[in-house]
Amino acid sequence: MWLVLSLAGFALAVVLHALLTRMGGSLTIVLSFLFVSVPLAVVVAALALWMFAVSDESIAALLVYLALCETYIFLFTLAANGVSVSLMMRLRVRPTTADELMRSYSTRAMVERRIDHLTAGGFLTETGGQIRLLQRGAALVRVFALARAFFKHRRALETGGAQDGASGQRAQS
Amino acid sequence: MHWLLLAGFIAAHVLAYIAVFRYLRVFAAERTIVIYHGLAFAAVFAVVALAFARGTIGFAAACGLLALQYLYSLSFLELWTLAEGSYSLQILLRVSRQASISREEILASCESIGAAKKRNRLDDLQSLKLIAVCQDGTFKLSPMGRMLVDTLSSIMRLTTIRQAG
Repeated sequence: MWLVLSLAGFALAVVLHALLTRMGGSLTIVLSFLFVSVPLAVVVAALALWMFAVSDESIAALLVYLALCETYIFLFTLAANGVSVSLMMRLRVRPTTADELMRSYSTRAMVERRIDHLTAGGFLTETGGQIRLLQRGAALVRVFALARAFFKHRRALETGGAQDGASGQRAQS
Repeated sequence: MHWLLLAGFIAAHVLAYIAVFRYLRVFAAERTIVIYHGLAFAAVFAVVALAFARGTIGFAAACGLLALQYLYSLSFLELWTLAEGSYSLQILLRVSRQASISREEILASCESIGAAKKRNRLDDLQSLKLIAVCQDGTFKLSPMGRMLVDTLSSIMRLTTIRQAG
């Protein structure tokens, strides 16, 4: 029964999110999912406590629901931003040579899309052909600097030459 | 009791990373950090399976414990990867270095990264056996790759994502 509660909660979150994204609005895809899944997490937790009191079943119901939601977020952000996914989508149509594949997926378009997303998300602004960082973007850069310091990431994030042959690291999508 | 044990294990796993592993050069590699978490999950899975088989814990506890470990590892790995240098972060950093910059300048400086990224990703897909090379030298999706793409396509339709990547 606790598993049914988790699965039903997750299914409802997916359906509500699908409806919400079709209604438009300014929320990003991740925020719109959180907008429906977080209140549903409270509902799942409340129902689990009501049905099973504080027990393994109630804790498991909430944790499994959260695990499903996190997996869903991971998958749709991968689909939206993953370079690998984009390459695979092109191969879905027909087998292709490496050169043709590289040409069909314009790097320029890839960068343009990310600039547009960052602008739409309120991190950057573009006026008179010039792009500037907004307060929100500056805050994000600071958060990433802290995260990089925590994880001790050594590779310098230098655009135009980000590959670090010594560490074998590569740019992430 | 089993919840406390897992909480203790996760705390020890994080502390070991903070105190020791993050300073090691080998832990700067994506593969190493994935193995670090993969091993932790395998260990938890083995202990939970054993406890379940012996009847020490029930099905709900077993699922909950695995879900908690999964949540911890996936969150950690996602944050690690984002901080390691997402494409969007690189654009933000490029813009943050100057008061303002033209779109063309960003495009010029980021295009080389994009090209290298595509080549790396193609190699990754091959090594993960998600794509295969045909006899004529072209690439095609493997059955596993096709299954993944079909799943992601369904999710894209649900979430109204129009274009991948």
